[in-house]
Amino acid sequence: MMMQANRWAFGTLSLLTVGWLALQLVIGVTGMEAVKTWPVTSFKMFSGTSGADFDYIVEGQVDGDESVTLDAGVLGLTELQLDGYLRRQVAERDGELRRGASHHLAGLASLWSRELSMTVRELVVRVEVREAGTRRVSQVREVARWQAS
Amino acid sequence: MASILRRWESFWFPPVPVRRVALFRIAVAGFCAVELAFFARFLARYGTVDEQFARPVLIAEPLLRLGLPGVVPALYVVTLAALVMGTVGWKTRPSLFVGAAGYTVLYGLFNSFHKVNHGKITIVIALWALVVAPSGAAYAIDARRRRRSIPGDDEDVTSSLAGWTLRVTGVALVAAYVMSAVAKLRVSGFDWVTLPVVELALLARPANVVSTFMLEHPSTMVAAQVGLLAIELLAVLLLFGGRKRDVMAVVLAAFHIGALLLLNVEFWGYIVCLLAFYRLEDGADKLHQVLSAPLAGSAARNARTAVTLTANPAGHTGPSHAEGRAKRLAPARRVDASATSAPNGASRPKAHR
Repeated sequence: MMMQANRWAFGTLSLLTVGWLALQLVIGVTGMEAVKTWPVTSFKMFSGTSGADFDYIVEGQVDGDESVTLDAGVLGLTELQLDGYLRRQVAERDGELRRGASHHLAGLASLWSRELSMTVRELVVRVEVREAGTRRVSQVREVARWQAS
Repeated sequence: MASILRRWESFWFPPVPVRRVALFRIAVAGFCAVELAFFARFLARYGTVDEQFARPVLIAEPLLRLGLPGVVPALYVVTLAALVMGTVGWKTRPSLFVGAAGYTVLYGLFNSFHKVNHGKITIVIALWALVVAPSGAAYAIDARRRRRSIPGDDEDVTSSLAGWTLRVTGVALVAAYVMSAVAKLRVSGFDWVTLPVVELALLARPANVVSTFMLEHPSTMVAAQVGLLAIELLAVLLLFGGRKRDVMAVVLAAFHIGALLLLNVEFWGYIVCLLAFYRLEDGADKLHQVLSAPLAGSAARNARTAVTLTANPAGHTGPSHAEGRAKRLAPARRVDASATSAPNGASRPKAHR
């Protein structure tokens, strides 16, 4: 009885092992999008120079024309998560606007207003480009702007 | 065909002492519990992050759709409790199951906001693999209780399921390194070694002596990238055992510690998973030997004194209680027993290593 149970366990585990290995290989070698498959993913961290020389900066104009800079932590995100959101939903670093960018910026302004307990009337998204090999910012580019109607 | 099956079985299901997988359980579940309790409390707040920012991974999607802010903190508490129980080996299998599921979903949630990391993958796989193994058959409250209720049951047994758990973890770890190298070559080709990857990572962090030196000497950064690619490809050596494995393990551990100090990139889970390649029970025996030597010595001295003082009044020839204790504390435990079935499906080794 015990022997038979063990045989079943080994068979099932063998199938699971083969399945997992095959999936990992396919995803790892083809570099499929990891967003649906985590924790079986490709391992793309540091595989290219994907924008570590750019920083997104979000500035808001609040009541009384005061200017404030958005901190990712206020929204419960890390800096990298906010960067990813801005790049995918608002604008690429080269300034190419994403579809629905203004809708996303309106949502961002509304959330930020709630956190600040002030009304954010205008949002400006900029990218800071660092000079090669230094920490100096060589260029600041505006990539998106939103104003409350 | 039979030979292929035998090879498959001997690679994926090698019988290993259950004490080894039990110690691995303590390391993995303990690491996850400590991490959640002290370094990853931020995971509990992801229930309140607005869904506007979400880009959910599949396993976290249902939780994000639920949208109940209290669910994530509750999951965090349950997962932490289960991992603590798994570490001490209380209701080991169910608690490891709950711990593994909770830990996977919590990190799935973390990865559901436009940044997917691979830092936790190996430890997640190790947790799930531990659920399958007889992880609570030694060094556990469960094992202690079982020994009390089943006389003669002991921890010196081997199990092929324990071997599978350690092998799967080991292969997952090696795959993680090799796949990282594959991703670099796929995305950037061999030119990757000359791209400013390390440079940009260094520039994005506060300066220190080493990073300043490296930035002033660009050839060091190219050398570091060549070294990194080589290390990732050579991680396969971990599967070969012996000195090759030891050298690789030291190099990888040093690499992760260096990356943490220089780039603030943390991969402790990978270092913990390196333990899957080692005979942890030997380490535990050595530790036991070191810790119990003074105790055993004093117990033996006490026994001699007692024997001298009482001059063996009842004509008793066996060892005194104190001598017996000293003997039990003596380190080298060898079990020579014919294979018998143990409660967890494990078997006794003919000669315990």
